[in-house]
Amino acid sequence: MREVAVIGVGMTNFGKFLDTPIKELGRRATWDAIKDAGISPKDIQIAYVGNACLGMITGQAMVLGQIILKEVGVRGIPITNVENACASGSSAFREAWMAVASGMYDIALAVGAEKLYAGDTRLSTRALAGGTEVEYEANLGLTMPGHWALRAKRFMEKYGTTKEQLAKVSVKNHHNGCLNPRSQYKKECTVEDVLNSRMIADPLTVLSCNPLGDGAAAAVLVSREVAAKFTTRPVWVAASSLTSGSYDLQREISRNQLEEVAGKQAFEMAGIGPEDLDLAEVHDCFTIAEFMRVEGLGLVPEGEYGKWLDEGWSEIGGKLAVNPSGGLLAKGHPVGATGVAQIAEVVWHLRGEAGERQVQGAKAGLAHCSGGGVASDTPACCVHILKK
Amino acid sequence: MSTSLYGEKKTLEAIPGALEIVDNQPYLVGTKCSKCGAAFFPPRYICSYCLTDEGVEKARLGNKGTLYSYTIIRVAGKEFNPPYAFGFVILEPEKIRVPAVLTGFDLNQELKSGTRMEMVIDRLRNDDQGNEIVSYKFRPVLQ
Repeated sequence: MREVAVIGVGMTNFGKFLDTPIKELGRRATWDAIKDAGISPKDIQIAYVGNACLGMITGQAMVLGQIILKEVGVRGIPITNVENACASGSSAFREAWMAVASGMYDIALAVGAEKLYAGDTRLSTRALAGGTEVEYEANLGLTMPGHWALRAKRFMEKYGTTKEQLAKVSVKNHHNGCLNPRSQYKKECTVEDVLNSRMIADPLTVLSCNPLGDGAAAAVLVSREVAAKFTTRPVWVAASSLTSGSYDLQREISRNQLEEVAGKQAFEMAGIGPEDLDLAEVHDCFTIAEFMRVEGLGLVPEGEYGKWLDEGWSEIGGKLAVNPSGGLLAKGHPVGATGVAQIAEVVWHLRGEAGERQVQGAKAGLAHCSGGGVASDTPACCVHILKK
Repeated sequence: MSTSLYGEKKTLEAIPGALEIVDNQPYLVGTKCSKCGAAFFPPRYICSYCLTDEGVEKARLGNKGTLYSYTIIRVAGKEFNPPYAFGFVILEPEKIRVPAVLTGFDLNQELKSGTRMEMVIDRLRNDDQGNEIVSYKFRPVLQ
Protein backbone atom coordinates (compact mmCIF):
# COMPACT_ATOMS: atom_id res chain seq x y z
CA MET A 1 0.00 0.00 0.00
CA ARG A 2 1.36 3.42 -0.95
CA GLU A 3 1.60 6.50 1.24
CA VAL A 4 -1.08 9.10 0.51
CA ALA A 5 -0.88 12.84 1.14
CA VAL A 6 -3.55 15.53 1.29
CA ILE A 7 -2.20 18.52 -0.64
CA GLY A 8 -5.33 20.67 -0.94
CA VAL A 9 -8.54 21.31 1.00
CA GLY A 10 -11.52 23.62 0.62
CA MET A 11 -14.70 24.31 2.52
CA THR A 12 -17.66 26.71 2.22
CA ASN A 13 -19.10 28.47 5.22
CA PHE A 14 -21.71 26.25 6.89
CA GLY A 15 -25.16 27.76 7.35
CA LYS A 16 -28.67 28.04 5.96
CA PHE A 17 -28.42 28.80 2.24
CA LEU A 18 -31.94 28.15 0.99
CA ASP A 19 -31.40 30.01 -2.31
CA THR A 20 -27.95 28.61 -3.13
CA PRO A 21 -27.94 25.60 -5.47
CA ILE A 22 -25.98 22.54 -4.31
CA LYS A 23 -23.73 22.75 -7.38
CA GLU A 24 -22.62 26.20 -6.29
CA LEU A 25 -21.71 25.05 -2.77
CA GLY A 26 -19.92 22.02 -4.22
CA ARG A 27 -18.15 24.08 -6.87
CA ARG A 28 -16.81 26.64 -4.37
CA ALA A 29 -15.38 24.01 -2.01
CA THR A 30 -13.93 21.92 -4.85
CA TRP A 31 -12.38 24.89 -6.64
CA ASP A 32 -10.80 26.05 -3.36
CA ALA A 33 -9.29 22.58 -2.85
CA ILE A 34 -7.95 22.48 -6.42
CA LYS A 35 -6.39 25.94 -6.06
CA ASP A 36 -5.03 25.06 -2.60
CA ALA A 37 -3.36 21.96 -4.11
CA GLY A 38 -1.98 23.99 -7.01
CA ILE A 39 -3.21 21.46 -9.56
CA SER A 40 -5.41 21.77 -12.66
CA PRO A 41 -8.86 20.14 -12.86
CA LYS A 42 -7.50 18.00 -15.69
CA ASP A 43 -4.93 16.46 -13.31
CA ILE A 44 -7.68 14.76 -11.28
CA GLN A 45 -7.95 11.08 -12.22
CA ILE A 46 -10.82 9.87 -10.04
CA ALA A 47 -13.42 11.44 -7.73
CA TYR A 48 -15.75 10.35 -4.93
CA VAL A 49 -18.62 12.58 -3.83
CA GLY A 50 -20.51 12.12 -0.56
CA ASN A 51 -24.09 13.20 0.04
CA ALA A 52 -26.92 11.84 2.15
CA CYS A 53 -30.09 13.94 2.12
CA LEU A 54 -30.46 15.64 -1.24
CA GLY A 55 -32.75 12.99 -2.68
CA MET A 56 -35.31 13.91 -0.02
CA ILE A 57 -34.63 17.65 0.17
CA THR A 58 -34.54 18.61 -3.53
CA GLY A 59 -35.16 15.28 -5.28
CA GLN A 60 -31.56 15.11 -6.58
CA ALA A 61 -31.14 11.48 -5.54
CA MET A 62 -28.60 10.56 -8.22
CA VAL A 63 -25.42 11.71 -10.04
CA LEU A 64 -24.77 14.69 -7.75
CA GLY A 65 -21.00 14.23 -8.08
CA GLN A 66 -21.11 14.55 -11.85
CA ILE A 67 -23.33 17.64 -11.57
CA ILE A 68 -20.96 19.41 -9.18
CA LEU A 69 -17.76 18.39 -10.93
CA LYS A 70 -18.86 19.57 -14.39
CA GLU A 71 -18.92 23.06 -12.84
CA VAL A 72 -15.18 22.86 -12.17
CA GLY A 73 -14.27 21.23 -15.46
CA VAL A 74 -13.72 17.75 -14.06
CA ARG A 75 -15.14 15.33 -16.64
CA GLY A 76 -14.40 12.14 -18.47
CA ILE A 77 -13.01 10.44 -15.35
CA PRO A 78 -14.55 7.86 -13.01
CA ILE A 79 -16.88 9.61 -10.53
CA THR A 80 -18.64 7.62 -7.82
CA ASN A 81 -21.36 8.94 -5.52
CA VAL A 82 -21.07 7.76 -1.92
CA GLU A 83 -23.77 7.54 0.78
CA ASN A 84 -23.19 6.38 4.38
CA ALA A 85 -25.54 8.70 6.34
CA CYS A 86 -23.48 11.15 8.47
CA ALA A 87 -20.30 9.30 7.44
CA SER A 88 -20.92 9.89 3.70
CA GLY A 89 -18.17 12.52 3.36
CA SER A 90 -15.61 10.56 5.36
CA SER A 91 -16.48 7.41 3.38
CA ALA A 92 -15.92 9.35 0.12
CA PHE A 93 -12.54 10.49 1.48
CA ARG A 94 -11.67 6.88 2.37
CA GLU A 95 -12.53 5.70 -1.16
CA ALA A 96 -10.26 8.39 -2.61
CA TRP A 97 -7.51 7.33 -0.21
CA MET A 98 -7.89 3.68 -1.29
CA ALA A 99 -7.72 4.66 -4.96
CA VAL A 100 -4.31 6.29 -4.44
CA ALA A 101 -3.01 3.88 -1.76
CA SER A 102 -3.76 0.93 -4.05
CA GLY A 103 -1.52 2.35 -6.76
CA MET A 104 -4.30 2.55 -9.34
CA TYR A 105 -4.47 6.36 -9.35
CA ASP A 106 -2.05 9.15 -8.42
CA ILE A 107 -4.46 12.07 -7.94
CA ALA A 108 -7.93 11.66 -6.41
CA LEU A 109 -10.60 14.09 -5.28
CA ALA A 110 -13.03 13.68 -2.37
CA VAL A 111 -16.03 15.99 -2.03
CA GLY A 112 -18.84 16.16 0.52
CA ALA A 113 -21.84 18.37 -0.25
CA GLU A 114 -25.22 18.79 1.38
CA LYS A 115 -28.37 20.82 1.55
CA LEU A 116 -30.35 19.89 4.63
CA TYR A 117 -32.11 23.15 5.42
CA ALA A 118 -35.37 23.31 3.48
CA GLY A 119 -37.38 25.95 5.36
CA ASP A 120 -39.51 22.97 6.37
CA THR A 121 -38.25 21.23 9.52
CA ARG A 122 -40.56 18.29 8.91
CA LEU A 123 -38.96 17.58 5.53
CA SER A 124 -35.43 17.86 6.97
CA THR A 125 -36.43 15.57 9.85
CA ARG A 126 -37.83 13.01 7.42
CA ALA A 127 -34.61 13.15 5.41
CA LEU A 128 -32.56 12.52 8.56
CA ALA A 129 -34.83 9.64 9.57
CA GLY A 130 -33.45 7.99 6.42
CA GLY A 131 -30.41 7.15 8.56
CA THR A 132 -32.55 4.72 10.55
CA GLU A 133 -34.51 1.65 9.44
CA VAL A 134 -37.47 3.62 8.16
CA GLU A 135 -39.90 0.70 8.12
CA TYR A 136 -39.11 -0.09 11.78
CA GLU A 137 -37.89 2.42 14.39
CA ALA A 138 -38.86 5.62 12.55
CA ASN A 139 -42.29 4.13 11.81
CA LEU A 140 -42.82 3.51 15.54
CA GLY A 141 -42.05 7.13 16.51
CA LEU A 142 -38.32 7.02 17.33
CA THR A 143 -36.63 10.24 16.17
CA MET A 144 -32.86 10.73 15.84
CA PRO A 145 -32.71 12.94 18.98
CA GLY A 146 -34.85 10.30 20.68
CA HIS A 147 -32.32 7.64 19.72
CA TRP A 148 -29.53 9.62 21.36
CA ALA A 149 -31.64 10.54 24.39
CA LEU A 150 -32.10 6.82 25.10
CA ARG A 151 -28.33 6.34 24.93
CA ALA A 152 -27.80 9.43 27.11
CA LYS A 153 -30.17 8.20 29.82
CA ARG A 154 -28.43 4.83 29.90
CA PHE A 155 -24.96 6.44 29.87
CA MET A 156 -25.80 8.87 32.69
CA GLU A 157 -27.21 6.04 34.78
CA LYS A 158 -24.11 3.89 34.23
CA TYR A 159 -21.38 6.51 34.71
CA GLY A 160 -23.08 9.08 36.96
CA THR A 161 -22.69 11.78 34.31
CA THR A 162 -24.70 14.94 35.07
CA LYS A 163 -26.82 17.12 32.79
CA GLU A 164 -24.40 19.96 33.51
CA GLN A 165 -21.47 17.88 32.26
CA LEU A 166 -23.37 17.04 29.06
CA ALA A 167 -24.10 20.75 28.57
CA LYS A 168 -20.40 21.61 28.86
CA VAL A 169 -19.79 19.91 25.47
CA SER A 170 -22.09 22.46 23.84
CA VAL A 171 -20.56 25.38 25.79
CA LYS A 172 -17.03 24.38 24.68
CA ASN A 173 -17.99 23.78 21.05
CA HIS A 174 -19.97 27.02 20.78
CA HIS A 175 -16.93 28.85 22.15
CA ASN A 176 -14.73 27.20 19.51
CA GLY A 177 -17.30 28.04 16.83
CA CYS A 178 -16.88 31.73 17.66
CA LEU A 179 -13.22 31.38 16.60
CA ASN A 180 -14.06 29.73 13.26
CA PRO A 181 -15.09 32.09 10.44
CA ARG A 182 -16.80 29.21 8.58
CA SER A 183 -18.97 28.19 11.56
CA GLN A 184 -22.78 28.24 11.31
CA TYR A 185 -23.06 29.52 14.90
CA LYS A 186 -20.72 32.16 16.29
CA LYS A 187 -22.37 32.74 19.64
CA GLU A 188 -21.20 31.78 23.12
CA CYS A 189 -23.60 29.90 25.41
CA THR A 190 -23.54 28.97 29.09
CA VAL A 191 -24.45 25.73 30.87
CA GLU A 192 -27.69 27.45 31.98
CA ASP A 193 -28.49 28.47 28.38
CA VAL A 194 -28.09 24.85 27.24
CA LEU A 195 -30.18 23.42 30.11
CA ASN A 196 -32.91 26.05 29.78
CA SER A 197 -33.27 25.88 26.00
CA ARG A 198 -36.27 24.04 24.55
CA MET A 199 -36.41 20.34 25.45
CA ILE A 200 -36.29 18.07 22.38
CA ALA A 201 -36.01 14.62 24.01
CA ASP A 202 -35.07 14.46 27.68
CA PRO A 203 -32.18 15.13 28.57
CA LEU A 204 -31.34 16.70 25.17
CA THR A 205 -32.36 20.34 24.67
CA VAL A 206 -32.17 22.23 21.39
CA LEU A 207 -28.67 23.53 22.28
CA SER A 208 -27.62 19.90 22.86
CA CYS A 209 -28.44 19.05 19.21
CA ASN A 210 -26.65 20.03 16.00
CA PRO A 211 -28.45 22.57 13.79
CA LEU A 212 -29.85 22.03 10.28
CA GLY A 213 -27.57 23.52 7.65
CA ASP A 214 -25.95 23.43 4.24
CA GLY A 215 -22.37 23.41 2.97
CA ALA A 216 -19.62 21.57 1.14
CA ALA A 217 -15.97 20.57 1.56
CA ALA A 218 -13.34 18.98 -0.67
CA ALA A 219 -9.86 17.45 -0.48
CA VAL A 220 -7.18 16.47 -3.02
CA LEU A 221 -5.28 13.25 -2.24
CA VAL A 222 -2.08 12.25 -4.05
CA SER A 223 0.80 9.79 -4.03
CA ARG A 224 4.17 10.67 -2.45
CA GLU A 225 5.73 11.34 -5.88
CA VAL A 226 2.97 13.73 -6.89
CA ALA A 227 3.01 15.44 -3.47
CA ALA A 228 6.71 16.23 -3.89
CA LYS A 229 5.93 18.06 -7.16
CA PHE A 230 3.19 20.28 -5.77
CA THR A 231 3.96 21.00 -2.12
CA THR A 232 6.65 21.19 0.53
CA ARG A 233 4.16 20.65 3.35
CA PRO A 234 2.04 17.57 2.66
CA VAL A 235 -0.28 16.17 5.31
CA TRP A 236 -0.14 12.35 5.41
CA VAL A 237 -3.10 10.02 5.78
CA ALA A 238 -1.63 7.84 8.53
CA ALA A 239 -4.74 5.68 8.93
CA SER A 240 -8.19 5.05 7.48
CA SER A 241 -10.75 2.76 9.05
CA LEU A 242 -14.41 2.07 8.29
CA THR A 243 -16.63 -0.33 10.20
CA SER A 244 -20.30 -1.22 10.49
CA GLY A 245 -22.45 -2.32 13.42
CA SER A 246 -23.09 -5.68 15.07
CA TYR A 247 -26.88 -5.11 15.40
CA ASP A 248 -26.77 -7.33 18.47
CA LEU A 249 -30.13 -6.94 20.24
CA GLN A 250 -28.51 -7.67 23.62
CA ARG A 251 -25.54 -5.28 23.49
CA GLU A 252 -25.13 -2.42 25.99
CA ILE A 253 -26.12 0.82 24.22
CA SER A 254 -24.09 3.16 26.45
CA ARG A 255 -20.98 2.01 24.53
CA ASN A 256 -20.52 2.05 20.75
CA GLN A 257 -18.49 -1.10 20.15
CA LEU A 258 -17.86 -0.29 16.50
CA GLU A 259 -16.07 2.90 17.52
CA GLU A 260 -13.79 0.85 19.76
CA VAL A 261 -12.99 -1.38 16.77
CA ALA A 262 -12.47 1.48 14.31
CA GLY A 263 -10.36 3.45 16.81
CA LYS A 264 -8.14 0.46 17.56
CA GLN A 265 -7.67 -0.31 13.85
CA ALA A 266 -6.80 3.32 13.09
CA PHE A 267 -4.21 3.67 15.87
CA GLU A 268 -2.60 0.33 14.91
CA MET A 269 -2.36 1.44 11.31
CA ALA A 270 -0.96 4.87 12.20
CA GLY A 271 1.56 3.37 14.62
CA ILE A 272 0.71 6.02 17.22
CA GLY A 273 -1.52 6.15 20.29
CA PRO A 274 -4.25 8.53 21.48
CA GLU A 275 -1.62 10.33 23.61
CA ASP A 276 0.17 11.38 20.39
CA LEU A 277 -2.85 13.32 19.07
CA ASP A 278 -3.03 17.11 19.31
CA LEU A 279 -6.64 17.44 18.15
CA ALA A 280 -9.68 15.32 17.38
CA GLU A 281 -12.69 16.26 15.29
CA VAL A 282 -15.36 13.83 16.48
CA HIS A 283 -18.98 13.44 15.49
CA ASP A 284 -20.79 15.49 18.17
CA CYS A 285 -24.25 15.38 16.59
CA PHE A 286 -25.55 15.61 20.18
CA THR A 287 -23.71 16.49 23.41
CA ILE A 288 -23.88 12.86 24.57
CA ALA A 289 -22.35 11.76 21.26
CA GLU A 290 -19.06 13.57 22.03
CA PHE A 291 -18.88 11.63 25.33
CA MET A 292 -19.51 8.29 23.66
CA ARG A 293 -17.13 8.96 20.75
CA VAL A 294 -14.07 10.14 22.70
CA GLU A 295 -14.46 7.27 25.16
CA GLY A 296 -15.33 4.70 22.48
CA LEU A 297 -12.38 5.67 20.29
CA GLY A 298 -10.09 5.33 23.31
CA LEU A 299 -9.12 9.03 23.38
CA VAL A 300 -10.35 9.34 26.98
CA PRO A 301 -10.62 6.52 29.56
CA GLU A 302 -14.11 5.01 29.98
CA GLY A 303 -16.38 7.08 32.21
CA GLU A 304 -13.91 9.99 32.58
CA TYR A 305 -15.00 12.52 29.97
CA GLY A 306 -17.20 14.38 32.46
CA LYS A 307 -14.08 15.07 34.53
CA TRP A 308 -12.20 16.10 31.38
CA LEU A 309 -14.87 18.73 30.68
CA ASP A 310 -14.88 19.91 34.30
CA GLU A 311 -11.09 20.36 34.08
CA GLY A 312 -11.13 21.92 30.59
CA TRP A 313 -8.83 19.19 29.22
CA SER A 314 -10.64 18.99 25.86
CA GLU A 315 -10.51 22.73 25.22
CA ILE A 316 -8.06 24.28 22.75
CA GLY A 317 -4.81 24.42 24.76
CA GLY A 318 -5.85 21.44 26.94
CA LYS A 319 -4.55 17.84 26.87
CA LEU A 320 -6.42 17.08 23.63
CA ALA A 321 -8.45 19.71 21.75
CA VAL A 322 -11.78 18.04 20.91
CA ASN A 323 -13.72 19.71 18.10
CA PRO A 324 -11.65 22.91 17.87
CA SER A 325 -13.69 23.77 14.73
CA GLY A 326 -16.83 24.12 16.84
CA GLY A 327 -17.88 20.58 15.95
CA LEU A 328 -21.26 19.66 14.57
CA LEU A 329 -22.97 21.49 17.45
CA ALA A 330 -21.66 24.96 16.46
CA LYS A 331 -19.85 24.71 13.12
CA GLY A 332 -22.89 22.85 11.80
CA HIS A 333 -23.65 19.49 10.22
CA PRO A 334 -24.56 19.49 6.53
CA VAL A 335 -24.63 15.70 6.76
CA GLY A 336 -22.76 14.62 3.61
CA ALA A 337 -20.21 17.46 3.88
CA THR A 338 -19.17 16.94 7.50
CA GLY A 339 -16.59 14.16 7.05
CA VAL A 340 -14.58 16.08 4.45
CA ALA A 341 -14.89 19.33 6.43
CA GLN A 342 -13.33 17.53 9.42
CA ILE A 343 -10.38 16.53 7.19
CA ALA A 344 -9.99 20.18 6.11
CA GLU A 345 -9.99 21.29 9.75
CA VAL A 346 -7.27 18.81 10.74
CA VAL A 347 -5.18 19.78 7.69
CA TRP A 348 -5.40 23.48 8.59
CA HIS A 349 -4.22 22.77 12.15
CA LEU A 350 -1.32 20.60 10.97
CA ARG A 351 -0.24 23.36 8.57
CA GLY A 352 -0.62 26.05 11.25
CA GLU A 353 -3.38 27.80 9.27
CA ALA A 354 -6.28 27.52 11.73
CA GLY A 355 -6.19 31.16 12.83
CA GLU A 356 -7.57 32.07 16.25
CA ARG A 357 -8.50 28.47 17.06
CA GLN A 358 -5.06 27.03 16.11
CA VAL A 359 -3.89 24.14 18.29
CA GLN A 360 -0.29 25.20 18.76
CA GLY A 361 2.36 22.89 17.33
CA ALA A 362 -0.20 20.33 16.14
CA LYS A 363 1.51 17.30 14.55
CA ALA A 364 -1.26 14.68 14.49
CA GLY A 365 -5.06 14.83 14.40
CA LEU A 366 -8.00 12.45 14.18
CA ALA A 367 -11.27 12.83 12.27
CA HIS A 368 -14.26 10.65 13.16
CA CYS A 369 -17.75 10.36 11.70
CA SER A 370 -20.43 7.82 12.53
CA GLY A 371 -23.66 7.59 10.60
CA GLY A 372 -27.23 6.51 11.22
CA GLY A 373 -28.95 4.31 13.78
CA VAL A 374 -30.08 0.75 13.00
CA ALA A 375 -31.32 -1.86 15.49
CA SER A 376 -30.13 0.58 18.22
CA ASP A 377 -26.62 0.23 16.80
CA THR A 378 -24.59 2.44 14.45
CA PRO A 379 -24.37 1.32 10.83
CA ALA A 380 -21.22 3.24 9.78
CA CYS A 381 -18.15 4.52 11.62
CA CYS A 382 -15.21 6.08 9.79
CA VAL A 383 -11.92 7.19 11.37
CA HIS A 384 -8.94 8.92 9.78
CA ILE A 385 -5.64 9.93 11.39
CA LEU A 386 -3.60 12.63 9.68
CA LYS A 387 0.05 13.43 10.42
CA LYS A 388 2.47 16.15 9.42
CA MET B 1 -64.06 0.85 9.88
CA SER B 2 -65.66 4.20 9.07
CA THR B 3 -66.24 6.22 5.95
CA SER B 4 -65.86 9.94 5.35
CA LEU B 5 -65.62 12.43 2.53
CA TYR B 6 -62.16 11.04 1.85
CA GLY B 7 -63.40 7.49 1.43
CA GLU B 8 -62.99 4.40 3.52
CA LYS B 9 -60.66 4.63 6.55
CA LYS B 10 -58.71 1.55 7.36
CA THR B 11 -56.87 0.32 10.42
CA LEU B 12 -53.33 -0.61 9.46
CA GLU B 13 -50.40 -2.06 11.39
CA ALA B 14 -47.28 0.13 11.78
CA ILE B 15 -45.16 -2.96 11.09
CA PRO B 16 -47.25 -5.37 9.00
CA GLY B 17 -47.33 -8.87 10.46
CA ALA B 18 -45.62 -7.90 13.72
CA LEU B 19 -48.56 -8.77 15.96
CA GLU B 20 -50.55 -11.85 16.87
CA ILE B 21 -53.51 -11.98 19.23
CA VAL B 22 -54.09 -15.21 21.16
CA ASP B 23 -56.81 -15.47 23.82
CA ASN B 24 -57.15 -11.68 23.76
CA GLN B 25 -53.44 -11.34 24.56
CA PRO B 26 -51.20 -9.52 22.04
CA TYR B 27 -47.81 -11.00 21.18
CA LEU B 28 -44.94 -9.92 18.95
CA VAL B 29 -44.12 -12.17 16.01
CA GLY B 30 -40.40 -12.63 15.44
CA THR B 31 -38.11 -15.51 14.61
CA LYS B 32 -36.08 -17.95 16.69
CA CYS B 33 -33.01 -19.99 15.88
CA SER B 34 -33.47 -23.57 17.08
CA LYS B 35 -29.68 -24.09 17.09
CA CYS B 36 -28.56 -21.31 19.47
CA GLY B 37 -31.92 -20.13 20.83
CA ALA B 38 -31.45 -16.50 19.70
CA ALA B 39 -34.65 -14.54 19.05
CA PHE B 40 -35.07 -11.68 16.61
CA PHE B 41 -37.57 -8.87 16.30
CA PRO B 42 -38.22 -7.75 13.63
CA PRO B 43 -37.80 -11.25 12.23
CA ARG B 44 -34.41 -12.18 10.75
CA TYR B 45 -34.54 -15.34 8.66
CA ILE B 46 -30.82 -16.02 8.84
CA CYS B 47 -29.52 -16.32 12.39
CA SER B 48 -27.03 -13.49 13.04
CA TYR B 49 -24.94 -15.79 15.26
CA CYS B 50 -25.09 -19.22 13.56
CA LEU B 51 -25.19 -17.67 10.07
CA THR B 52 -27.61 -20.29 8.88
CA ASP B 53 -31.25 -20.31 7.79
CA GLU B 54 -31.70 -23.90 8.94
CA GLY B 55 -33.99 -24.12 11.94
CA VAL B 56 -34.78 -20.41 11.94
CA GLU B 57 -38.55 -20.21 12.24
CA LYS B 58 -41.29 -17.69 12.88
CA ALA B 59 -42.05 -17.58 16.58
CA ARG B 60 -44.44 -15.95 19.01
CA LEU B 61 -42.35 -13.84 21.38
CA GLY B 62 -43.11 -12.70 24.90
CA ASN B 63 -45.42 -9.79 25.70
CA LYS B 64 -43.78 -8.71 28.94
CA GLY B 65 -40.41 -7.32 29.83
CA THR B 66 -38.41 -4.77 31.78
CA LEU B 67 -37.68 -1.13 30.99
CA TYR B 68 -34.11 -0.54 29.75
CA SER B 69 -34.06 3.19 28.94
CA TYR B 70 -36.69 5.77 28.01
CA THR B 71 -37.14 9.42 27.11
CA ILE B 72 -39.96 11.89 26.56
CA ILE B 73 -39.91 12.88 22.89
CA ARG B 74 -41.21 16.46 22.69
CA VAL B 75 -40.42 17.23 19.05
CA ALA B 76 -41.60 14.79 16.37
CA GLY B 77 -43.89 14.67 13.36
CA LYS B 78 -47.27 16.07 14.41
CA GLU B 79 -48.97 12.80 13.39
CA PHE B 80 -47.29 11.24 16.46
CA ASN B 81 -48.84 13.95 18.66
CA PRO B 82 -45.82 14.74 20.89
CA PRO B 83 -44.98 14.73 23.74
CA TYR B 84 -44.89 10.96 24.22
CA ALA B 85 -42.71 8.50 26.07
CA PHE B 86 -40.48 6.23 24.01
CA GLY B 87 -38.26 3.50 25.36
CA PHE B 88 -36.45 0.24 24.95
CA VAL B 89 -37.94 -2.78 26.68
CA ILE B 90 -36.00 -6.01 27.24
CA LEU B 91 -38.46 -8.66 26.17
CA GLU B 92 -38.87 -11.74 28.34
CA PRO B 93 -37.93 -14.52 28.16
CA GLU B 94 -35.99 -13.71 24.96
CA LYS B 95 -33.81 -10.95 26.53
CA ILE B 96 -33.82 -8.88 23.34
CA ARG B 97 -34.31 -5.13 23.15
CA VAL B 98 -37.37 -3.75 21.37
CA PRO B 99 -38.25 -0.09 20.81
CA ALA B 100 -41.75 1.10 21.65
CA VAL B 101 -43.94 4.01 22.60
CA LEU B 102 -44.66 3.74 26.33
CA THR B 103 -48.15 4.40 27.62
CA GLY B 104 -50.35 4.03 30.69
CA PHE B 105 -48.51 6.42 33.03
CA ASP B 106 -48.32 10.14 33.73
CA LEU B 107 -45.41 11.69 31.77
CA ASN B 108 -44.45 13.69 34.86
CA GLN B 109 -43.98 10.43 36.75
CA GLU B 110 -40.46 8.97 36.62
CA LEU B 111 -40.18 5.33 35.55
CA LYS B 112 -37.13 3.50 36.85
CA SER B 113 -34.97 1.18 34.74
CA GLY B 114 -36.07 -2.35 35.42
CA THR B 115 -39.76 -1.42 35.78
CA ARG B 116 -41.97 -4.38 34.76
CA MET B 117 -43.74 -3.61 31.48
CA GLU B 118 -46.50 -5.32 29.50
CA MET B 119 -47.53 -5.05 25.87
CA VAL B 120 -50.75 -3.48 24.63
CA ILE B 121 -52.06 -2.69 21.17
CA ASP B 122 -53.00 0.93 20.67
CA ARG B 123 -53.44 3.64 18.05
CA LEU B 124 -50.03 5.12 17.16
CA ARG B 125 -50.96 7.82 14.66
CA ASN B 126 -53.05 8.52 11.56
CA ASP B 127 -51.40 8.44 8.15
CA ASP B 128 -51.79 11.10 5.43
CA GLN B 129 -54.91 9.35 4.09
CA GLY B 130 -56.54 9.37 7.53
CA ASN B 131 -56.04 5.64 8.10
CA GLU B 132 -55.50 4.65 11.70
CA ILE B 133 -52.04 3.13 12.28
CA VAL B 134 -51.88 0.78 15.25
CA SER B 135 -48.85 -0.70 16.95
CA TYR B 136 -47.68 -2.52 20.01
CA LYS B 137 -46.83 -0.26 22.95
CA PHE B 138 -45.68 -1.05 26.47
CA ARG B 139 -47.16 0.11 29.78
CA PRO B 140 -45.99 -0.35 33.36
CA VAL B 141 -47.51 -3.43 35.03
CA LEU B 142 -49.81 -2.29 37.85
CA GLN B 143 -48.44 -3.44 41.21
